[in-house]
Amino acid sequence: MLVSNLYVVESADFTWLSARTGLTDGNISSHMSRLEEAGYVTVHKAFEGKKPRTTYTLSSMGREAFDDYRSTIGVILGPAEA
Amino acid sequence: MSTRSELEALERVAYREAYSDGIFDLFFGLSLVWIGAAWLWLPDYSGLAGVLPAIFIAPVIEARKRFVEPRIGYVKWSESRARQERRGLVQILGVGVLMLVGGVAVYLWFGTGADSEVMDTLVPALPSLLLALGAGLLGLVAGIPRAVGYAAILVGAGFLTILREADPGLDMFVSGTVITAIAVGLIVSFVRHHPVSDAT
Repeated sequence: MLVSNLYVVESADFTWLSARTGLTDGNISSHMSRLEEAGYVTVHKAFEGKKPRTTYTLSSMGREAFDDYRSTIGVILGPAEA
Repeated sequence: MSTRSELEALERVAYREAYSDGIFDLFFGLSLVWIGAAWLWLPDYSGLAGVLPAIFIAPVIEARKRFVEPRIGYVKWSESRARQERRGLVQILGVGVLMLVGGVAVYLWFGTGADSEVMDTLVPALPSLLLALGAGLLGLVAGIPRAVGYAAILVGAGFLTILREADPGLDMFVSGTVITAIAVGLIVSFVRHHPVSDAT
């Protein structure tokens, strides 16, 4: 769900991911840490005025991995559009 | 959530929900109320009524950002969505210019002479009908169905003005009031479903 939502946008912050997925903050943190370690997500920390903003972007490796996953699921499930 | 169509639907829903706060709706509704009221009760200043909303557009955009982002976060849409937004804006502006030119041409053709009575009947509702076209286009281009609903409200109010042979401005005042009420409902619902997040 997290990766699907990141896949369809350029980047998003923690609050947006939480609002979109309904996952708890702890869940999201845990998943994003693992995705970042795997190189699938890049984290950008910046300031919006004086307020810190952390955004997450699905890396090209992450997009490729998700596309591979979609293809595999498509093969397993049959002739459904992938 | 992995097929292409599911992902496209996910993005469409996310985009639509990003504008579900009601702030722009409130601004639109109150602007219509103000312009309609000016035409009805301040006829000497009615020509300038549209200036006030135009002045407030930028502050409203900034205020909305400060209201919405702590609740539903920040997102940068994909390049394809950004292109679609730019294309939609050009389409709406293009139609607006065509409508203006066409409206002037129609008025000049029919407005003087035997058919001027038809134009005199339609003129009080023309602003509403033109705004309805703009709102309808926005709804179709941006994929925000309630904008099409607002277009229907404006058309209904326009025809009400024609049928009642009412003064110009009544249609905008009435439709603005209805849209403002809808916007307040949207804002209340948005606040209830999206409390301010502490996450950064």
